[in-house]
Amino acid sequence: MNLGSLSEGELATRLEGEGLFLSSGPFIFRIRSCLPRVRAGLRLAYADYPLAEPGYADFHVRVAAPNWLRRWVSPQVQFYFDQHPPFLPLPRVQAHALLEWGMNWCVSQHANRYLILHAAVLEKNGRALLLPGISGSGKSTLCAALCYRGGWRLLSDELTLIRPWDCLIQPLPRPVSLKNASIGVIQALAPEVPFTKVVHDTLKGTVAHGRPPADSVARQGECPPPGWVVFPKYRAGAVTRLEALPPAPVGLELAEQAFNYSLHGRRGYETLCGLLDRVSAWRFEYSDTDEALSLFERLAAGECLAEAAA
Amino acid sequence: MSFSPNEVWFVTPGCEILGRHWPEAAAQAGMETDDLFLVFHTGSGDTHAVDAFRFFVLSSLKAPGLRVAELCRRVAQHLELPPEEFGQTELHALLSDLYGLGLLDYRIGEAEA
Repeated sequence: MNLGSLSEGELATRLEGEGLFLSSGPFIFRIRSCLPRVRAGLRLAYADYPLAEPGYADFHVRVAAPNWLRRWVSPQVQFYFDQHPPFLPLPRVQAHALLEWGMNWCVSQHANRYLILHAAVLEKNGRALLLPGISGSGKSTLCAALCYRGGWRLLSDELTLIRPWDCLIQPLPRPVSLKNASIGVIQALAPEVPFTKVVHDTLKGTVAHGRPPADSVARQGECPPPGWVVFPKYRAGAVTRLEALPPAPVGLELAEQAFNYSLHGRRGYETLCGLLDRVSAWRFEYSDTDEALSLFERLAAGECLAEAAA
Repeated sequence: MSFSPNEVWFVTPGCEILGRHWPEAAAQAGMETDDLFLVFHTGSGDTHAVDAFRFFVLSSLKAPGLRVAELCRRVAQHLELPPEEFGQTELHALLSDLYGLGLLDYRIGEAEA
């Protein structure tokens, strides 16, 4: 049973009662909220997600007003994890975005059986493409273009979960988070994709979340091996360029961008080496999304791109 | 750090230095050479990228360790070059850098082996 099959009343009853038990990747979230914005965001962004039987959940989360007064005066909302608020409250208009950030936080801070990298990850032809990148690198825009237009399966737009025991990538498809100018770019590129309401003036600027492709959600149990690591960099006017990288510095950069590398100790290092055994690594600069899609198609097809040109 | 010929350099007992490199991957990517190793120090939990020469030095200094003069001799032998190619002062500077990264330690005294 998917969330989209619930009526408005059924969804509200669950959210306001025992909770909505939602499967996202290998995790079950129990979500509770009385806020219409949260309900609307869930209905739009999670329509294809399977519901789990009420009972066990990995993460118990709730979005609600921090106190009675804040329901009415300068309305605010708070994210609660196991009844504790890990963040400061935000304006009520950001309620669904706060839920998204909170759910990502739950995974990044607690799913320590995985080595967790700050990277988008997609799959094509049975191999995973990792897109690590700092904020503003164009990682999320590229990820959205690849999954909405390039035919790549979305595994995650934010968190790459590597299984240390077999070095496969655990999918965690979640709503695609876009910021500022990239919202318009992707909405123009894929106008059929439902997006949550655009929210302005958040800590991350203007944000919106796109519904992940249904196929990506349906296949969230399929764990592919890693195939490529590409560090993207969007630069206005840049010529599309792919430059091969040596593995050891790539390993160092991935370790620095991981959420829990040091927590894993030797196992983290061995997992990283296992990853580097299986991938080719590249630095990628682009400004034209169509050219980028074309180049990644060639990458997925196994073409030798050692000459580093699109 | 000033150089004393009585220094014995070693990887901290009980710790390991693990290292991996990927020459085939570099070749496939069209790079001429890739002598960089990804190194992990089990004591500190820190990861570093070092070149093949430094990795050889680290690998040579398992406890109980070596004096710089002996290390110079081994390096020359490894590279099939005359020992005078390697000044102890320069090698000591390299050891000091690795000490600064927490990968090596030293003591003043006799090597045990």
